[in-house]
Order: sequence, then C-alpha cells, then structure tokens
Amino acid sequence: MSNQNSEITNEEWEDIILRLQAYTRKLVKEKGWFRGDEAGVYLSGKEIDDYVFEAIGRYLKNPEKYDPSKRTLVEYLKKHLIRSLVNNDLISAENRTSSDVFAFDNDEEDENDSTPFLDSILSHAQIFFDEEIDYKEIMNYMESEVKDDVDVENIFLGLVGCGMKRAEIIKEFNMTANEYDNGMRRLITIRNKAAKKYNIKK
Amino acid sequence: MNNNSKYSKGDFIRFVMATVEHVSSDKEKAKEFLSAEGLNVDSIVSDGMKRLKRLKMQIEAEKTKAEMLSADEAKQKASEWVDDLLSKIDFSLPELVKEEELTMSFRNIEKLSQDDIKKILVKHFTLKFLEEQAKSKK
Repeated sequence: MSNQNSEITNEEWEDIILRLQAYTRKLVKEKGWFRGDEAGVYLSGKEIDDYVFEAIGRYLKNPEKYDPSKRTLVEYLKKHLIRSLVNNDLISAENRTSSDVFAFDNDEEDENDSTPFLDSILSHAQIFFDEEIDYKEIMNYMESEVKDDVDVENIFLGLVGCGMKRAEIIKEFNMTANEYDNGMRRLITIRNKAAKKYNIKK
Repeated sequence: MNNNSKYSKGDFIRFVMATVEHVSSDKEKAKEFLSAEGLNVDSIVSDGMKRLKRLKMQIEAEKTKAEMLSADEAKQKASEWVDDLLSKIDFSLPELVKEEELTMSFRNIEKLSQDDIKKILVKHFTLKFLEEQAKSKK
C-alpha cells in the first residue's frame, strides 16, 4: 500500500475502512466498559464510525507522520484508534473498569516506535481490562480446553507462549492458512466459553 | 486468585488482542466478521467512502484557510518590516538589493518612487517569510 494519501486508491480505502470497522467493533465488543446494549453507541454519543474516521482524519491531516518502513498503514491507524478509545475511557472516569494508572501521552508519543504491532499496543490495551478478573485461572482453563485439538493448541501456544504472528505460527506448525483461520475460530469459541464460565461482562 | 499458573494478565491481553487482530487481518475476514454481526457490508463501504470524501474536502478547506491566514500574516509582517527599514536614516536600496539578492537593474532603481520601492520590498519579504514558515514546518 502506498504511503501518501493522494496515491491511495478507492479500492485500498475500501479495504482500510472495512478492516478498521471490524477491528474497532471487535475491540469494543471485547470490553465490558461501554454503555448500553448497542455496541455502536457509547461514550458521549460517539459511534464506531466516529473513531474510524477520527483515525483516518489524523492521517490525512499529517500523512508525513506515517512511516511505511515501520508498520502498515492499517496498523498505524489501528494504533490511533486504540489511543482514542483509551483516552475516552480515561476521560470518562465513571466508565473505567481498570484500576491501572495510565498516563496517556500526546499524539506524537510513539510515532517512532518500530516494535511489532501487537507488542506496541499492549501497553495501551491494558487499560481495557478489569483488574479483578482471575486471568490466570481463565488461561489455565483455556489451556486445558485446547488440548484435544492440535491446531488450536498450537495457535494458542504460539500466540500466548511465544508471541508469534499468524505467518510465524503457520510456518512453525506447518499449517495451511485455512487450517489457521479455522483453528482461530475454534479458539475464539473456547475463549467465549471461558468468558461465560467466568462470568466476564461483555 | 490462582497464583499457580505460568500465565499472566499480559498473556490474556495478548491473546484477546490477537483475536481482535484476526478479524481485521484482511478484507475478507473483516467482511465475514461484519456480516456475522448482522451488518450490511456494502452499506459500510459506500457510506464510508462518502464520509471519506467529505473528510478529504473538509481537510483541504482547512488547509486552504490556514494557508490564506498564513499568507495574510506574512504580508502584514513584511509590511511592518519594510516600514521599519525605510524609516532608517542609513537605509540604502542598492545595498539591500545586493544583500537580498533582488534582481533589479540600477537604472530601474533610480526611476522607482517610494511607493514602488515599498511594494517591491513588501512582495519580496512576504515571499521570504512564507518560505521560512514552510521550512520551519518541515
């Protein structure tokens, strides 16, 4: 994908919009902190669309801040999304579910960060998660649940134990892309089962 | 709380974020997820593209406005600068022309009125200040 917004084709924008919509919606669904039953409306009336286009707008205003040698444009925009969501969560203290004290940095905070995408967002994402949940117990439960399914177990261990990416897991465990995607779906089902068992708010 | 575990909260977060990443790792997976959520993917795309167009136009308008404001400010600054220059007792136009590398012949200089000189210098310094602003923004 090109790095200057004037060079991004409509087809590329469609790809970006769909992926950011899916990402934000999934992210919001994973959290227990948004208000109401509708995932689309929460926090001062902001909707998922608003977050997506806030991130895109930040890029369009200052495209030179994006360095394509460090991460993809979609990853760059996802980082903006995470930061906006976290920031909003912090502004609305009554909406907080975490006791973490998180000093939210300014917009320039990690433009030079070239660590892998998932690693680079973990510190931002921490604020989303409730301190009171027994994560160790949940992870132990999941570990026991994935044991009967080789692909799912490999994905689980690759992601959690080794911090591997999709492509690395596929290569390491000699899977096809389809096997990975199907295994990931089963793993998410197990995670949902764990959420139900441990009464995690959705 | 279970303390006999090799896993931490960080491991759980990594796992959840990896699942979030999964549904948006490519266009097809994003479509699949959004459809499963009961959303109309075609509408998301067409509404999104319309909003993108509006956003681009809005940003362009803001940039144009900022550039115009910036030009007005530079012109004002240049005008004050030139007034100050011309009021100095030791002001010498030939020296300034040389210093600022202005392209003017000495024959022209002699024929210029005070107003002409001011107009030329204001124009020159406006451009100079705008160039300096552009450089400092980079």
